[in-house]
Amino acid sequence: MVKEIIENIKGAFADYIIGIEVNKNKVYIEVEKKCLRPLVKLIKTNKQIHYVTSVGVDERPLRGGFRVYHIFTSIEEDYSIIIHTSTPQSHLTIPSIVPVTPGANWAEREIQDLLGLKFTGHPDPRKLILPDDWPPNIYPLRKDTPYNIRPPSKPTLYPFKRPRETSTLPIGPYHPLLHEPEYFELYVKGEEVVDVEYRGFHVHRGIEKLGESKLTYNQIPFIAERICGICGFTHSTCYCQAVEEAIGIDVPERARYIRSILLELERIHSHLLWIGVACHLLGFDTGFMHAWRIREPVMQLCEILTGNRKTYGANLVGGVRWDIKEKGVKKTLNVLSKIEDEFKRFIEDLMSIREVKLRLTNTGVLTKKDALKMEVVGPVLRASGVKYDVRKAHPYAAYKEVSFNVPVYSEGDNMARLIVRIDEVLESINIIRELIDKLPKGPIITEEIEIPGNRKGLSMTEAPRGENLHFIITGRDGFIYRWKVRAPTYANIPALKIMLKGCPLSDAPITIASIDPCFSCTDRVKVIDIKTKKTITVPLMRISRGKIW
Amino acid sequence: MGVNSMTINMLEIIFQKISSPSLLLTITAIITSIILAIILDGVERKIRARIQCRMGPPILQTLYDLVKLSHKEVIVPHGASKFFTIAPKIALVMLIINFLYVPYGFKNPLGFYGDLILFIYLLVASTIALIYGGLSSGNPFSEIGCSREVSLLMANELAIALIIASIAFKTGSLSLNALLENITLTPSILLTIIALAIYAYIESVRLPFDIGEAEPEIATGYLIEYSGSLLSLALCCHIYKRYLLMTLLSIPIYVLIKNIIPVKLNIILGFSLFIAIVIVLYMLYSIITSISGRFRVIHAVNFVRASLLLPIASLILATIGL
Repeated sequence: MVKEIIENIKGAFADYIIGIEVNKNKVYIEVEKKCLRPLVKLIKTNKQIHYVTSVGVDERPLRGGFRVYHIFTSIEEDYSIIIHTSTPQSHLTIPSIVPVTPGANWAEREIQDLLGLKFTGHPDPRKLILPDDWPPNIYPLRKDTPYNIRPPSKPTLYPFKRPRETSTLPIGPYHPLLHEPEYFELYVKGEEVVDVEYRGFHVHRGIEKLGESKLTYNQIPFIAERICGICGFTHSTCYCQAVEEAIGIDVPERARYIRSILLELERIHSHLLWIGVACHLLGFDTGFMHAWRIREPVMQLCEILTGNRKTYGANLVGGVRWDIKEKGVKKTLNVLSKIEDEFKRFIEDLMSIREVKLRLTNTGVLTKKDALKMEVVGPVLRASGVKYDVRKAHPYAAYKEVSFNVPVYSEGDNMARLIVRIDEVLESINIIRELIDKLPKGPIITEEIEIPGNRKGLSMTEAPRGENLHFIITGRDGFIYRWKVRAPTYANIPALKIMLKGCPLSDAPITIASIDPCFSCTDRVKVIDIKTKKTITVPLMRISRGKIW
Repeated sequence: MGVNSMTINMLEIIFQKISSPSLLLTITAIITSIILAIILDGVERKIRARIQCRMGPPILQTLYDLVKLSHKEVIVPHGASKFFTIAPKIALVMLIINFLYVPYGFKNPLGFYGDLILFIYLLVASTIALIYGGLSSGNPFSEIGCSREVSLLMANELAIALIIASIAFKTGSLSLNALLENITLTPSILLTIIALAIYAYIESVRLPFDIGEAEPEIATGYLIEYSGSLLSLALCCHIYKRYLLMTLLSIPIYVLIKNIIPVKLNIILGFSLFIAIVIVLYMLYSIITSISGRFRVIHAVNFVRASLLLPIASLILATIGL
């Protein structure tokens, strides 16, 4: 199928194709920018092609100009198509593909903010990533912008599109709903949500820029793991796999198994965390406490296996740093059987709570058509009836060697998203058992790695929240020239606009939470300075006595 | 009769009232209740914690919280009306007045004819004062919380009106003290007690009916702008309201239990039994709270409407003399 698509492209756009490069199952097609939109339209006519993200690269130090990669992948076959085009510095415009791929909305706005490229024909070219007070004409991801830049503040107001005759309800930047900064503006009539606007990216840490300018290739896995506070290991694995693919090295079998085991443990504790939070949002705090009680042994197990409850620090390019010992294997099996029992009992109780059922069923519905249109990923996509799991479609680590089911439900409501995650926890438990059973002997890391320059690597993993993508271009002296991360929540948040429209206000929090949003994953791109002009340190004692200044 | 003799007469009556053992015990009961209400809230938190496999805070945590809050700075939002600061005080005073009229297992000498109406009136008025205070803060979350609370209140007040009516039919009186004497186990009384239990539960801002606060949804709703001592007062109102509702529900149950046990209770034992019933009911409610989620507004209102059938049925039974 994918080969057919590539033949079609070759046939229809032969005059515009500059070059085709194939690296295993990744096809890089370089085209002239004027044919970009019709070409993407042709690709998107195929139902199994899923748009992932776009990457902007400042190539001026290499060969002049800027380059944009649009990454597409097949949801059935293990193939990815990357369309890229360049533009000289004198003409910073590129045709937008949003009219034919609505899912590219954010990615193009991000490139516009960070590299200063303009996308002609973009329906909504507002600021996305940079804060409201960021001065114009400073583009953080350009190579001539230092990573620690702190430009002067130039306050402007963000142009929210507020519908008429509604009251505005702010959720965030601090709100008990989610314990991370984010800003949703809900427009409500009575108890009904009419529209919603999102303004996020309050917690940029400049991780991509940092990785490109200060860190060497083997330091990045540790910073990549800190992209997310819950599913960090999937990020470091994804990064390592991208580099491994770029430089063409094989990872020892045992290392691949260990990676898979840790990834599945991470999925279990991440889903349990989410189920707890969902209970809390529905007012069922007892469920919240019990979900987290069941989760605790998993965290302790991770500590036994890697030395850390979270942020394992186990990945390096070429393999893993810690081996799983015999004692660890035994402990893992014990913990798994314990949590399996407790989890099943817990789910039985949870499903017998009337309020939980009432409030999850038929709320926050995302139809299959909308899900495909918005290019959502992970449990959100699978709850809307699309069978796409990176572990199956693009097997990595040791997933090729284990058998497991991909739970798919067609209702598309919050209940379906809950059940998908419940099923995935049980699947993960079985996957780990099988992996441990088959765990091969041997080395856990490939030594002596050389990083040649200007190689491209693309890797995807199935994070607990969905498809996670890391794209790298290697640079000189063991540095990474460009490192792009697309976390799953980044793809899922735009779909909330559809899910929230017309839903009662009381279901808005659980619907927002149903995509399991991870704002620190999404907000990872560059350095920002949001300090006010003066900072005063106030002793705690004074605050507690009610005197702030 | 001269002025002097009238004064002496009045003094005599007052002296008799003061020196009567039931008044002394009433004062003791009021003070006990005001303290016990706060402790019971701590017990509720402890019960919830045990059900959730947690240690839970110390029993006196609620008291510590209230004291701590009362030392904190009060921030009045810009543009809030004057009522914002007065509302929690008014609400609390109304509830404290209510403590005077509860028959704590014996005839309350402060009671008068119609104090049942006053009791309910003050309970509802205190809730309305809090809602109005929240509304005057001008916060959108607060507005939504208030509208939710009012829609629940409207549905629920009809229930209590019907309950009072059927009680009045059965006991022939609108006084709380009369409840102590004239209640016998009949179908209508049984239905009334169940209806009252449901009313008390809904009115006590517990899950799944705490839609007006709903922390994850509307960030504590009508309480959102309250801080410091004002928040402390508002929380106090919640705690006392819960306790008062429990005492109201305990009266008929106490009478039924007293009629069953063969021993004749003296005034002290009666009081102890009454408080014991209050505590048990309070703990029962705590357990229900911790195993439920939160209703959507429409579900909550529909539930209240459906539960109206009970007081209607009991009223019908009462009118035909059952």
